[in-house]
Amino acid sequence: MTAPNVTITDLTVTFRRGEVRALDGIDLRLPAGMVGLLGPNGAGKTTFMRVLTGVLLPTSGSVAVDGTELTSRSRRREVKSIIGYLPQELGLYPDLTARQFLDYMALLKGITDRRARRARVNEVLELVSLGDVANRKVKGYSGGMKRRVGIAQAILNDPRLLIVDEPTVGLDPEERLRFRSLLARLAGDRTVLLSTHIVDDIVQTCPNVVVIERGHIAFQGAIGDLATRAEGMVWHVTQPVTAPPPDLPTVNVTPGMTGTTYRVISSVMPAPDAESVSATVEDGYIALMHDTAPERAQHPGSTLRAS
Amino acid sequence: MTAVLERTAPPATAQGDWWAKTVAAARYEYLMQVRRPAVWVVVLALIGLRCTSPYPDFDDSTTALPKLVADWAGNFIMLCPIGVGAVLADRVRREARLGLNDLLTSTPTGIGPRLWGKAIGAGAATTTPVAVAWVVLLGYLTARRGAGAIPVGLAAFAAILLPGLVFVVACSVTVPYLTGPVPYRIGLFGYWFWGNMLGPRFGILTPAGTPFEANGEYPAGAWFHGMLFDARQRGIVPTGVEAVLSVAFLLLMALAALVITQLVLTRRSPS
Repeated sequence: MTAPNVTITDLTVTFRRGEVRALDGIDLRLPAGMVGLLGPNGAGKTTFMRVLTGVLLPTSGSVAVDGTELTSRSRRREVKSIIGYLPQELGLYPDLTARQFLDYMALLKGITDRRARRARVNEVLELVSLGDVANRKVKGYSGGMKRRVGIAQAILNDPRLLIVDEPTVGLDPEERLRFRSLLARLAGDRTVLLSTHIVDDIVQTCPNVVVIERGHIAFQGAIGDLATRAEGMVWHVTQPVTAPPPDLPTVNVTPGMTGTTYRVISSVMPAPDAESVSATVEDGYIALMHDTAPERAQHPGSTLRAS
Repeated sequence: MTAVLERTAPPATAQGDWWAKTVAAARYEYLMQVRRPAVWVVVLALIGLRCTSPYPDFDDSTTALPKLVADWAGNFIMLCPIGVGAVLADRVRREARLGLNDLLTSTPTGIGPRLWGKAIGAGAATTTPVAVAWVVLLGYLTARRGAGAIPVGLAAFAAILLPGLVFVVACSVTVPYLTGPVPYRIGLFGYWFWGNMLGPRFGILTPAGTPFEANGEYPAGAWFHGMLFDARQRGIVPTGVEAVLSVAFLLLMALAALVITQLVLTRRSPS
């Protein structure tokens, strides 16, 4: 199996008869491996993923997977057969067991041979560590278990392109770590597009990242390059000696013995006693989010690194 | 776990297996619907409500067997389709309510197998209490009148009860897409009384007593010599041809409702 060649060209999606531009002229080529999709709430991440999975039709522009554009119904079905999708709003049939639900999804994904389907369902149940509870109704599952059922259905057809939208929302820290490592393992020879607004999830798993804001690509490139964008702009300012200017983007606030330390982003030294520190990916992301939109459009970052 | 990741042969997928997908959808829709207590309570209560004082007042031991079975069928179908439609109506938008639409649309299966699967599976599940109650009745009639009640009973189920139920099932998994479940239930209630019980004696335009009613009066009258109500008021004694016409009308309307809904939904859906 090889990762697919996913090319997005001038992709635009509008709602309310053009009043809302959810995606605005996105050009992108997805590399193999894990690709993080970052952006604030309402930036257009879910819309982007829904277009990629063929759930939503674009207003203009195109998406091509291995050269097959998602223009006609038959081509979309062809592409859907190599895609796995875990939507943000994950619904399950509460009155089915995990095994029954996966069996049903496997059939809808075209695995019609009973023996092959049964074997595949058992495989993915083991993969997500639900084998022991597979015959329990889904309505009795915890949030994390439901998410694992979600990822299990997404990989039933052994997809070459796996699209997961906010998979770690609502999970406890241990479950989140487990989920992250599962996705990283799955990424081996396929493309996994992981959407989240939790920067740490991307830092830990994705060599490449795409940042979307207000329907535009604000950045695309290697994860390290995102941190580099904030290099020389990250400062520690400690109260009570100096209070940071209120309009500066603050990455975090740490109370300490000598006062409260603010980690702020500023292109100039924000206070005489401000201490310059090295930038992280989160700093780069915050810096990017507080940049001005026209600059961002002109400097979308370097291209994604092939892995 | 590693073995799964290193698997070399991906599962074989077939995109065109329309029937297999429809059967799968029907199977799981059946499973989910038949487990609902409301399905059993509502449908059996409506059957019970009517059958505790059956009309006409027949004698189980002396009435001719076909007429006896047909009159029982008439009692069964007088109210229970309202319950069948009511408990089916909320299945229509269930996927949207459960947040399953995106997931299902992201599969290579179109809307057709899911719609037909829902109609067949959830419809069969909702008519299961009717069938169970009918089997119980046939057991009782067999005890009183002998094994001859069984073939007559099965024929009556197929000719008198089933066409009307199929019609109601088809409407109940399609019309609520347009109306939502609550207005549909109200509409079904009104339609059922207007279209099947308010005969010409009320002086209003109604299909009651014509081959276009859904309560099986024509097949009951023509093939089983069952009691006639509204047809008799119209001065009609149904013939076999008219009974066939009545059954065919209901089945064709059911088919039309499903086909039109499939076309509309397919047009609106990207899948």
